[in-house]
Amino acid sequence: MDLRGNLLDIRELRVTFHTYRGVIKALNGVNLWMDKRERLGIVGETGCGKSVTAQSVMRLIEEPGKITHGEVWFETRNLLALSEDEMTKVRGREISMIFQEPKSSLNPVFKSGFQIKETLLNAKKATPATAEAEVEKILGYVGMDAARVKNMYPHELSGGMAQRVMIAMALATQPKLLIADEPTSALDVTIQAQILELLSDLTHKMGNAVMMITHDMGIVAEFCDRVVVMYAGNAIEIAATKELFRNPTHPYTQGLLRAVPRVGRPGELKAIPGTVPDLVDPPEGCRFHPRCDYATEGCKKELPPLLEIEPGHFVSCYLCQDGGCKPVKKGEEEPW
Amino acid sequence: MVETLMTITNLKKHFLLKQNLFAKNKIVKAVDDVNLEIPRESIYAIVGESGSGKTTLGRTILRLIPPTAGSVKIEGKDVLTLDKKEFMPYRRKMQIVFQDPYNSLHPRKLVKTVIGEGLKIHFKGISEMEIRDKIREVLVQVGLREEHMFRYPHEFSGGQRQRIAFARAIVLEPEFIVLDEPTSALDVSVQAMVLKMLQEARAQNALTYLFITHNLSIVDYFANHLAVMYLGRVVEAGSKAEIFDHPAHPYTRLLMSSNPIPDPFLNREKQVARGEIPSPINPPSGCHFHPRCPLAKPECKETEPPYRELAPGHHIRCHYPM
Repeated sequence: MDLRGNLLDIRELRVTFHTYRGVIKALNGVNLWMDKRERLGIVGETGCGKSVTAQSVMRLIEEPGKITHGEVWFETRNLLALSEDEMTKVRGREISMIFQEPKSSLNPVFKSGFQIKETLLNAKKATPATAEAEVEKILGYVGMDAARVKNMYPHELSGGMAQRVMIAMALATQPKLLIADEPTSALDVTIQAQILELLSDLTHKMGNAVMMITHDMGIVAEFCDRVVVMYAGNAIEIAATKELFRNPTHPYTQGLLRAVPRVGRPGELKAIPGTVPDLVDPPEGCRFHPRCDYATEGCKKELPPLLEIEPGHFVSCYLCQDGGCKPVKKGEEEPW
Repeated sequence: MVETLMTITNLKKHFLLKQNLFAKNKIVKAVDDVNLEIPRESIYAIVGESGSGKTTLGRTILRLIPPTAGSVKIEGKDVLTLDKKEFMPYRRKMQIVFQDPYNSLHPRKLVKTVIGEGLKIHFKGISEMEIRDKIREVLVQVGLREEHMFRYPHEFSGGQRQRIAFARAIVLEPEFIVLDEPTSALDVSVQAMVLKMLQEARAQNALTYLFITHNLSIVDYFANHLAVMYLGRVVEAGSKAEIFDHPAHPYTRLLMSSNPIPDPFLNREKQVARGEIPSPINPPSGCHFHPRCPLAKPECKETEPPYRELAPGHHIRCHYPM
């Protein structure tokens, strides 16, 4: 099997949720991949499927959700084909995850030190004799006063401290991949900067790959090597971070970059007309076509394939089919 | 000379935290000695992290919660001391839009009731026809359509709900609106539309905004004055251009440095704060920021810096401004 990334390769992933309103087609054939030690950003607005993608990798999709199609290759195994027992060995050991609300991700009735110890013992990274010392070492790595924090319950921790405990737990088992699902959206900016720096330092030292799920283009610019832009259940553009900001090609990516306010660049913000589609009844063809200035009849019929317009730069848009064309209106400078 | 709409002097809001029978009650100084001058037709941003007291400040100004001390003067009148009847016209002139558009609209009332209710209270004797006309007018102004008045809030998206909440505020023809993080619950593409609508409405209706936010990028785009708050105190205030070009308080600099910038080509030295935001129940002595300040000197720990004018219109609360 020819994998596109040597760590992770998600192929044509489809996920649906059955609700009383109908079937929500949350992921509509997602393709993305990661190399070892890479920092991949997944950006998109509410409901674009970025969290569902991450949960599918961990196989955390529960009823009424269902993975209906696709493959998730992690190194040499298709995670979707593993038994539940085998998958349990992957979770927390080879792939770890941290979440947006660190305080609700910790068990409120156990001390934080105990919870880290439990993870270590489960993953057989420590023996009961060495675990205590190991916990203190790990808490030290995440910049905390280990002796004090290990005896604290989650409600005694601030948001930033709780996220540090979560990071300690997630990285204690030295996973190959860390999935961070909006790890700083619930935190204040000064604390966010601390947590991002910590994540950056630790994963650099330990050599884990990071999948950073975020809606903040600033975090993407400062943290990620490569970016996947998602819209309504599809990865619509994939490129190295600098390439994406220099040469955004999908009309949605362009719109998104124009809509983000930025210090030091006053002037008009341009909104994307219309709203995100209802995924119970998504538009046919390219799901962005009702909001797209450049949509043609062809866009309404079939989903455009993810094409490589330049080495490493993939776009799912019919306007780019002839190799590298760029949908910029005449007379319009590039405002991103 | 720009006319001043509102002068806030030594405004304080302290909350009492009741302890048990034997312990002394604690006081949280949510807003502590705030002094601001808000120019007419400006967009005045209040920036700060959680617990800085920015929302409490907005609510105290509007008398949604009673102040502990200080005054808020409009046209020379202190609105905080007016009795209920005298205050009524100011209730109309000062409106608020809340952060969460999912909880700030009554779920069982039609949009026309949500918007029209205030008219019946503040414009005595107004006819149903006039109410209908006014609702129609504001709906169009906020970018919605006339027929939307016969729908319920749950039929709208977050951005549309925020437009309804804003329509409810401007239908009373106010002069001053507190916008309490009006876009923090919205996606960026929707946020851009709402901000644009707010700007147009401000120009059209000669409004003054007090814009509460934690996002400095929006401030740069949207506001023309700002005050930075930290643990209940304003630490720096002035025109946006002045503060963005010459931030003088170490905390303002820290906030600016922490704000992620969507530009991968920018190489800047990131300054990362030490420590956590202290609890407002038990703030540090002297300058509240001293335990996290890279430039703190012994004096900062001992004495509280006064709030003083550094340059014309540029106020700061720091012993050693940068």
